[in-house]
Amino acid sequence: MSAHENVTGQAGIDAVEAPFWAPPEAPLDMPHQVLERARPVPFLDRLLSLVIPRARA
Amino acid sequence: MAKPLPPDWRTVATRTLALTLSLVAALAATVLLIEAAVQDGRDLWDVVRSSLIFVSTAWLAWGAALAFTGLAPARPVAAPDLAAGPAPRTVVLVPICNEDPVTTFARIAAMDQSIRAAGVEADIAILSDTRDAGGALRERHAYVRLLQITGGTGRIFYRRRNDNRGRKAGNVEDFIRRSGGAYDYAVILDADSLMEGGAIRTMIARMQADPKLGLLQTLPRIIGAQSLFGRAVQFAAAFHGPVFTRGLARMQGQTGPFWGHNAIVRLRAFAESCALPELSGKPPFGGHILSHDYVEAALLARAGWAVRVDPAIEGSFEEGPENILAFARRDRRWAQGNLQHIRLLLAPGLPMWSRFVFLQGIFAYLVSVLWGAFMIASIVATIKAPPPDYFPEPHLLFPVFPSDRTKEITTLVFGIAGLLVLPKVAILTGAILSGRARGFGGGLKAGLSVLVEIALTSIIAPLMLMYQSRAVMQVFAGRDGGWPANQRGEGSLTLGQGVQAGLWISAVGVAALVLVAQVAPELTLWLTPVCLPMVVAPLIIALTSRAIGRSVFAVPDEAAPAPVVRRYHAILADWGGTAPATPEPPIREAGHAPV
Repeated sequence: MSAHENVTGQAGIDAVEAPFWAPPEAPLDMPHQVLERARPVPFLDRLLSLVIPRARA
Repeated sequence: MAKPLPPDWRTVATRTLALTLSLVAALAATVLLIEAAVQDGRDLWDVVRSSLIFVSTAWLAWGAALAFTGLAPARPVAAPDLAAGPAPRTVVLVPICNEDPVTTFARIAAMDQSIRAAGVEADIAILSDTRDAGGALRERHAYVRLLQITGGTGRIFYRRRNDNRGRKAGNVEDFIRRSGGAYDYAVILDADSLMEGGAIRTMIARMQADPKLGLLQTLPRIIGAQSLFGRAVQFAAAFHGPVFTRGLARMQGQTGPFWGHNAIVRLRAFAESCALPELSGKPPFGGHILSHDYVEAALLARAGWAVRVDPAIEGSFEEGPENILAFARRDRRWAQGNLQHIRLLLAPGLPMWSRFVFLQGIFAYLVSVLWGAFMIASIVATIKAPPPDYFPEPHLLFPVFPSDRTKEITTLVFGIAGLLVLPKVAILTGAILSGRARGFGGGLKAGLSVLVEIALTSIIAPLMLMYQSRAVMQVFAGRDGGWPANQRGEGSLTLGQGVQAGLWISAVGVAALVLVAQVAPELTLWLTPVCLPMVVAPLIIALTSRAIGRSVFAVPDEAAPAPVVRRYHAILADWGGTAPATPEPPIREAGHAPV
């Protein structure tokens, strides 16, 4: 019997369907970090946003 | 957000000294090159190669400075033990992705036993990103076996993600978002990591003793190497690694490194500062951050947490690549990951040193291209040089011969070689004087190993230069190499595999030699040490992957394997896997009171 069959070919898979195999539920917040500076809006776009109301939105 | 911790005066002094040494060495190399080049007049190519030699030498000298900084032994400090009171809640995270379940779970079983023997209360969470359904099923079967032999129900957990978003960093992040609140500390491992329970106990105690410490990195020692290449890497990591890392620790201070595994993090610090965003744009420069560990270390520092590396913590292990191809494949991933950091050089709020660390990582790969460019520029400069003018003044009776600049060039070559060799000689001398060499078979055997390692590194260097240059060019050409799973355990390569992987290097080597012999024959001798290994690259790739005995590259972990390694071998043998090649002494460990 190979190592894989010896270790992984056994019966008993049903046992691990029980919830005890999942890590405990205890949420911890992880706020996403800012790594890139906001890109400056090109001059033409700013001008357009002043002229065309829809672009401002 | 708290401000980054300022470096202390020792760290500032060490950095200043290392930077000065690097600049002086780079300047000396540049002056030597210019002196050798002026005999035929100055042109644009001289400016190009002078600039290239300045940057490349500065990089080599920086590495040498790191070693010299680490030569002095660390002052012995009494390691703190776990504080009295309630035990800190600790979890050992083992992210896996398409790994061999037998060896992976055998390692976990060994660590679990070692952790309990050390009197540490810690859960273990296996975080699977395995995509293949068959592989996942094998993992779940192996998990059942793991629970059976460890009695780890309720203590050892297993979960598999449906979505591999963010790869390893995303895998760990997913765990923290779901379960991070249950723990104070997380020991982050790789699938091939092994850690002694005693090491984990020390790390927890260090975190407890210093509330500002956000991350503590250990120096993993490579174990289990069999091939000539693998054993050379294993020896270098064990012999030179601690000195280089001690230098790194002194230079980086509280803005230390994170290498992605074999480290402990304070979960609250990690959670509040290390959730990585996707970068705008497409890979290779946009998308998920590949080399996440460097970025996480920088983000912890940005948030005011200390990040430290301590090579003195014993009992931290990993496996290394067994052949040049495995090494080059890993290097391709790292090249893309490090070059992606170009996008982060100006990230808001980072300490200056973190930016410098990114720059170093970028240069680690760019420098291969720079050396290649230097050689090409030198050839072009020689071709473009005007023929010598033996009668610069009219009416001269005797010819004026150009002065011989061989001395300058030889000094330059030996100086550059010295930057590579001298640190290793200094480390060898220090190891003999301190008695550390005994673990490596004694002074003579350690000296022989260092000599063979230097020779082997010199032969392999041109191949690595080619692989790294190709990787850098691929990344800049926009080719995403992805982050394929490690192919651990692959060993010996046939000559056919060597030809398949190295024929293009041979072709470049032959072409370079033929071209130089035609257009600048005086350079042939200088370029032979670079071109010859390239010509026989397939042979080198195949031969260095062959298993060798222990006559050279002996390391302490072979003569006296750590208890956790012996446990791992015993469990693996019990599970029908590979038994250790040599009989090992019985496992004895100092007991600890439960905390």
